[in-house]
Amino acid sequence: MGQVALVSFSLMGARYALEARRVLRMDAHASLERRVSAAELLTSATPAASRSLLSYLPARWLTLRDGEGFWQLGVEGGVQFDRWPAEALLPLPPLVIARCQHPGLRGVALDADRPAMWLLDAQQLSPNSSVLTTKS
Amino acid sequence: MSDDSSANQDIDALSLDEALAAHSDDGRIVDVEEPTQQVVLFRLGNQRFALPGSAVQEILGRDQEVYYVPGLPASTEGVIHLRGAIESVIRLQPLLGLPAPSAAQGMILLVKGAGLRSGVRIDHLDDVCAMPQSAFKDAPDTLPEALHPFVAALLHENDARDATALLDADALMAAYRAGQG
Repeated sequence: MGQVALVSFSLMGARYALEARRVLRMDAHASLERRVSAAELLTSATPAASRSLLSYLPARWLTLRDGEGFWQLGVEGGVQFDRWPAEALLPLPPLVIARCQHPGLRGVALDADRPAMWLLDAQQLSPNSSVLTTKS
Repeated sequence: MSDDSSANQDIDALSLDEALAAHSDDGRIVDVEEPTQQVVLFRLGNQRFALPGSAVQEILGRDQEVYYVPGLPASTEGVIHLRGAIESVIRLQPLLGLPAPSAAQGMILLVKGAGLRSGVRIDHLDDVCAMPQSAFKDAPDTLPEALHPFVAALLHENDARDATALLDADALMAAYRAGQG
């Protein structure tokens, strides 16, 4: 089996990844009007988590594209580019997909030497998914 | 026949049925032809439940590593990696209106229902056995409201004071997928 290039980042103790080919560029500062932090996007359904975002400032901005054009996803530090063997990337079962509040959560990358990493489908993410907006 | 044998007949005369009946244990009649259903008996807290054996694909040890999944309700413990596939692990207590589970973790039943499959965390595995159909009784109206949609029958065992609720795996999985629990 082949390998899949992933761009991963940390968020509140968990590790997430996007398919690298969906990440068009990475910047230290936000430059687009359409932007949202990963923390807001992925935790907005949890009030307690949202409150903890008050002190959160993204360290990096990943440029993605959706049906409305380019947008930026703000992430914490620790951004990494890795190639993962396809057999280590596993889809989440339907029951988890049905109940998960995280938009775009599709699978998990499991490796004996690393903690589980949650795979996000960039095509299902959008700054419109979040109620809040982030000021850089 | 001799006179001696006639005398013995008078004293010990028994029919064959009587002789055989004297060796039976307590007079119970066991219908060996009665159909049985395999069930997995388990406990959540101190309550006894069962699932049809046909709905339980596997019983996994308590040492199975469970990965916490962000963004899921508390009724989902996480996911497990099982021979190259990812399976969810759910807790039934919220769905059944039971108190929150204790920190102690029992085994995981891999349950299929409503076209889905998931691990179900139980507190204690009691038995896997075949029960006669006559042991299954209709669920009474007096069941707690939260249990009603999910209890297919009550199972009365000879040596148990309390009845065991036989759960409907299809109803459980469908309800969980629909956002209950």
